[in-house]
Amino acid sequence: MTRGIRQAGGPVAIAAGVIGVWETALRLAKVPGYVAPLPSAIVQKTITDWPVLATGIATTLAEAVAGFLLGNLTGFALAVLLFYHPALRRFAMLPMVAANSVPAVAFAPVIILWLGSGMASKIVLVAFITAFIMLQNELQGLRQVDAQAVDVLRSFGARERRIFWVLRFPASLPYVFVALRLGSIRSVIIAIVAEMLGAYRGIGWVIFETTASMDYSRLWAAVAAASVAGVMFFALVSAFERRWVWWHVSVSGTSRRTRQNKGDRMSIKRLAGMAVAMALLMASTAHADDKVSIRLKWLHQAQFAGYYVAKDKGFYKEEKLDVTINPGGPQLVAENLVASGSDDFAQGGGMETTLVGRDKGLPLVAIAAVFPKTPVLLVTKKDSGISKLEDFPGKKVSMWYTGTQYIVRAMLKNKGVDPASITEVPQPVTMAPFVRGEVAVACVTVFNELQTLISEGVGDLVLFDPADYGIVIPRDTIVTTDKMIKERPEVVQRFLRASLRGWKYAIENQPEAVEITLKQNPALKKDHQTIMMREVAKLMLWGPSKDKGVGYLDPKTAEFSMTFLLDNKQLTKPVPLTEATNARFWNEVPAALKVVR
Amino acid sequence: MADKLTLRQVAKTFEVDGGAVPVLQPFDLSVADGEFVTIVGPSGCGKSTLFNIVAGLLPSDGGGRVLIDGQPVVSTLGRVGYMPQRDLLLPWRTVLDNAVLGLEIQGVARAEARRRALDVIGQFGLEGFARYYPFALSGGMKQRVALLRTFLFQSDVMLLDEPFGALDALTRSILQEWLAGVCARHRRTILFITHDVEEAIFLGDRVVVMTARPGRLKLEVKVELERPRAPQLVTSESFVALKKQILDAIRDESLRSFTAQGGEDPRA
Repeated sequence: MTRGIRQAGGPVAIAAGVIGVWETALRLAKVPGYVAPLPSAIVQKTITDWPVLATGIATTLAEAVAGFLLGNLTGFALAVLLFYHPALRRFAMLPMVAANSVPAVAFAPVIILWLGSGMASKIVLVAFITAFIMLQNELQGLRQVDAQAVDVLRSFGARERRIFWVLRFPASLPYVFVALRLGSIRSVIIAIVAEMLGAYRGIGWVIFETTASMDYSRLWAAVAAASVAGVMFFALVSAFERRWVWWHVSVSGTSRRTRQNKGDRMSIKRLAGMAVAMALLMASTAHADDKVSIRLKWLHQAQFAGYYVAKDKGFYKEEKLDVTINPGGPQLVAENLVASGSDDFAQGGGMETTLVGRDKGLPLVAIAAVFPKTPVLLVTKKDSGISKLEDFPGKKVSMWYTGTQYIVRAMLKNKGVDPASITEVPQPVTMAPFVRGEVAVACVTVFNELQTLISEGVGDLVLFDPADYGIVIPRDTIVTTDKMIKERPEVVQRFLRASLRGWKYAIENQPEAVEITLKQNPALKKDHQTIMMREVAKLMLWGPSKDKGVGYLDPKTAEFSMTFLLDNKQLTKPVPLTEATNARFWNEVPAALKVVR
Repeated sequence: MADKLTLRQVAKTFEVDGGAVPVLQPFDLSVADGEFVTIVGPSGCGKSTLFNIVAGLLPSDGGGRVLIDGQPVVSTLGRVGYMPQRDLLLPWRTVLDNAVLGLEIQGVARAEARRRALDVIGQFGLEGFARYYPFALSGGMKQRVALLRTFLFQSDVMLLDEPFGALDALTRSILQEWLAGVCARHRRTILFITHDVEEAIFLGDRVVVMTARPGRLKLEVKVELERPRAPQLVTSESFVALKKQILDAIRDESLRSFTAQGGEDPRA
């Protein structure tokens, strides 16, 4: 045992030294955290995000191990078959080599297309690659067996089956373990790569997702977790190798000559200990509290303050919930992640995305709406000569083609203005064309672009609120799935209760809510978040939400949203609101937890 | 004494690149029960091919037959203990488990096989080494384990193909004396190939000299020396005379084989 500690001492000391130098260098050079986070920050992130990472490791390892076992058994069986039937080798080897001369990533998308983005596609990919490694090695292992040793056994009267188990198989074990060792590393790599190409679980998914949401310290934690997973798997396979192939020079080296007995092969107890440790690590993901996650429609910011507050103030804990708040990003569609089961809840796009998703067959249900109306406004400069919608004809109007165009056209129609009389142009990310006067009218959201214009001193603006023209579409609906409502209704209830409570607290204690928000991502600007929090609060208390409570999903505006989408051919058919919305959970939350005084 | 093993017109011709290469010409040999016959001959004379045929690993050409106890057998596989030059021990098995390999394949229960091995392990100089693995043993010890394995295997005949060929001279002479002792205690029918004429005479009841390829019987000499034979025997007059007779025959054959391969006759 002490020898083991002494052996491990060296590498651990070296690793500690490297990490120490790394930490010091980053601190001295003042490298920003998103470029290269401090090792201590990664460790901290690993601890705080452990539920997410552990689920990821468990998923990836499960795929890797399942594919590894399947692949190696197949590869072994094939090797035995081809060994005894050399005539088949010519036919079998060419397609195998051809398929394996292409990297697994190349055909991963096809496998994912065929088998879906669940675990099956990863297992098959891993199995395919590990089978080939095993086939090649074991075939060679079987062929290198000493022909004279075979003769001795034959002269003793042994049949081929006996010779296989007494001689060929044990003699080929060193080759088997070469394949297993290579395969252990490869299987983790392939599982991760395949997850990055299409999955909603696992380390690869965490890496993809954190990249998309620019959560770089979690990315680093995920990378570290992935390599830990790989090393553990490799170590376990190597331990079995030392246990069973200790007699081969590749394992025991020269030291075996000095020992009478089996050398330092691992005892069964220690092997079992390692396996149990791995299992315990996986089991640590199990928790007394119910684990749920919410996917945000965008990166961390005050637009989602209610959840940060509910978590920070222990509201979720009081409801026996362990909530993971996952940020969104440019390549992530929150509704898809909920529909696939990767996340349990989302603050999604809005009533329209819920309805469109439902129309496409996604099992989405809106249980609340954070914003009773859309935060989008039309804006023009006072000196543009536009003061009412009737002034729009002949003007250039920029808009986002993400649904906003229908709102603009409907506003005009409601005022009797022909939408074709204006010149529509797509709106870029920047407000520069509007500031320079290249377009007369532009779209803004109350908490982002509008605030940017104000802070840049583009004053004297005229605003047109779609709500004033009868266009009221609930935005940022809190969505979950039919399955959650059916199978875990009490979890849905507890989650919504704690979340609304968090929102109420955030609106009533805005400076504190901003501080809590800043903790999610220290790169956020306090001034900007303070303004956003203020505007979010205003918007959330608009209309009937003021008296009924935050998150109120008005059936009238939900109904309007559907008519509006049908008119604009965004829906192929009417979607029953009894399916797409469910007010029961919101109604059950006591007024004291949702009405802002 | 009845013949234990009889070879009748055993022969072998290999096909090499379409051409026929005769390795062994029709060969007759009888070995009495309990007799120790040594075979010497120049390299490549087909001794190992002869052994493979006797062991049942290779079929004889044409009408060649192998008889055991005067009866023709379909195959000698499982009836002849065969020990090639290398020890070929399985490195993942202990000395004891290597030794019982033949018995194991014959279906003897493990405990019984081990008991039989432990009964004689001392005579093979392996007392206390039963639980060792082959890597911990010296070359001579490994060779004795291989001999023990062949010995324990319940067979009619033992074929030993240069078992001491790879050992140093000192170890070899000690093992020769030891083997003679073991054979005196357990009477076994043995065919023994060697390059070493002294070894052939020292161990054998009879020495068979083979011709250069294609192998044939060149000379058969009975060794009428008394047993047990002491190492000093090699310097005795009768031993030296025998040795000269055999060496001359071999030298003759070796030169023929050498010149046949394009070498120049040093006597010319």
